[in-house]
Amino acid sequence: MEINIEYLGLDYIFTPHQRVFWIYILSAFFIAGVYMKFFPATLSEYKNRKIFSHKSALMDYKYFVLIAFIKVAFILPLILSSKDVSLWTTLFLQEQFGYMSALSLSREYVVILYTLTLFVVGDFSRYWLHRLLHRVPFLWKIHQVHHSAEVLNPLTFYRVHPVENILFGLRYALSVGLITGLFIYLFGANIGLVQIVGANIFVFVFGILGSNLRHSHIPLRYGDFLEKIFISPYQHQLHHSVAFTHKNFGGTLAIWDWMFNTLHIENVRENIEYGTSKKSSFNTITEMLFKPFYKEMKI
Amino acid sequence: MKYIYRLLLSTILAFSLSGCGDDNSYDGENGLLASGGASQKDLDAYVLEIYTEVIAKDINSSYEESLLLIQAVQDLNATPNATTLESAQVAFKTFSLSYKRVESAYVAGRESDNMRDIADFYLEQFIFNSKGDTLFSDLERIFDGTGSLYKNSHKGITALEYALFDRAISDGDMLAKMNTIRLASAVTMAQTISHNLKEVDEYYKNESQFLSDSDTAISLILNQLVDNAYKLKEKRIGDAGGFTLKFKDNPDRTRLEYYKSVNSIGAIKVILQTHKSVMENGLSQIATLGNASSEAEAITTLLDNAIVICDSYANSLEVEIASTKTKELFNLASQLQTDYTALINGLNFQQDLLEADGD
Repeated sequence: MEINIEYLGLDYIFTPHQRVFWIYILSAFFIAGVYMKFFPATLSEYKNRKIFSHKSALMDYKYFVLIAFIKVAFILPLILSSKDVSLWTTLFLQEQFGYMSALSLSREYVVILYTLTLFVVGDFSRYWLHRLLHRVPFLWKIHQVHHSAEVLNPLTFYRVHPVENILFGLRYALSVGLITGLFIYLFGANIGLVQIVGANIFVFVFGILGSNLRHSHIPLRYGDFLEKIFISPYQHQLHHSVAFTHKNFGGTLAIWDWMFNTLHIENVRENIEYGTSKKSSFNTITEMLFKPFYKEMKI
Repeated sequence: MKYIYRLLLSTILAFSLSGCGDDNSYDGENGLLASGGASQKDLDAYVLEIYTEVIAKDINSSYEESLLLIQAVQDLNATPNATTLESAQVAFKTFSLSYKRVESAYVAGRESDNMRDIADFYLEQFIFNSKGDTLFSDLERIFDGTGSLYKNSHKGITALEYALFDRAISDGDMLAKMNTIRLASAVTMAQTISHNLKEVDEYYKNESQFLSDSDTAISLILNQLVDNAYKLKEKRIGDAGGFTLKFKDNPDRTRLEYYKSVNSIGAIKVILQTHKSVMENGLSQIATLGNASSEAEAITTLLDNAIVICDSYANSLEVEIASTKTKELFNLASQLQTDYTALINGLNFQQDLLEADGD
């Protein structure tokens, strides 16, 4: 029987825009290795807490396969397409403001501008959706599936409830669709992305610089100044801590947290407690998928 | 408050799930065929096909036609009589159709400022005239000796049509208008048009970067086609038929592009045929490589339907300007513009991708 690797999430390893693309994983291991050389205590934490064989990590692995299947089988075929949003946007602009012959700006400039705009708008919308997931009570129940991880590893990134997947898919469709529609209205076919190995340059650079360390126990910091601009792995780890769950919502940029007063910067502390205050809320896959609704209905 | 949150969430989910198209199996952010499954070698081959089978072929044949036109107008100038007048008029009509082919896929104007100026001054004078140019009154002054042939627009195809035609009058009356200035001006106009075509031809052969970067080439041709489709709808059909906002319910055949030579439907047909040529000689295949074959098929079908309508005119478009058939042609041209926009959009989203992961 032929098994499509898309349904198991294995294609993520070979897909440059995925967080666990093999090059990003390799670079994360390299950075982690160098870090451990200078701070051996980190390695001890991995050994002592059995990070990779912790029951929370085992749950992440199982859930990763399941959620990959759910996304391909149920979410991807159904969710609003950024392609449709883009076309609607262009046609809407043409109807409202009239047809505009493509502006004659050099293609290089348009490509750079488009890539940068997608990145900034994408990161901004990601910040706000993430913040809403924490602030709206029902959404927080959904998002707790992600925050219930008691140890962090790269696959924790995918420990996300399907409803959250849909919301992020919608966010993506709207942000990419609106920006692309606007650019097609202004520049016609003269658009494109700055790419490296087939991924948006920002995704690639962020990936190569250790995006996978966000969900790890390597408390890599960028320093006080840079951490007001870019979210460091350690800042995201603090976000997963019980103490600072509702801080540092940023994806790549920290400026949104800085602007909207949710930024938290501090020196590396030891023995961070990860997860939510109520431990062991999501012990099984079934609980992860249904408990948010069950609890909601009970209220 | 809890219920408001629930309602909000339900609305968002319903919206996200109900907005699906039937071709939702792919999604994603990507450049216009910048990467993904499309083989660069295939793309280059299809771009080369568009260039050789449409752009280069049309500029060559148009230049050849222009030489015949010069000869016919020179004959008229040397011996103004009914025979030479009719020959010159036939040569103009034949030439103007090949000229429309060049104009429809004129990517040179998008590559170079100099080539764009040539287009502005010569290729698309009709479009500029419709924006209030005083070409015809200028030409009258030139022909009666009170003005001079100094503007670029005085030497373009619209000016030449004016010099050679006056609709619905006899050859005798037309010849009576053909004074020496008008005849000499017509020769100058034909020579200028031919010279410019030669310059465009040389630009394509020696300077154009169209074949050196397929991504840019595809962008150029798509932008040209969508722009040309817009002008077809708005200027060449809509304004005259009274279908545009500007001239709503106020049809006027004199606004047609080749009103004087009664050749407007022929021009529209070759524009559509040129679009079809571009589609058949590479763009449809490129669309298939970019997972946008359904968008390309919609365009090809629409072009076929529009060409059938052009063929169905028993009389000229000038006669049937306010007909339902013309309205239908306008609607198809309008849809053509939308379909090209959809194709540009489709080619930009060629890769399977759903960024549905949180953080």
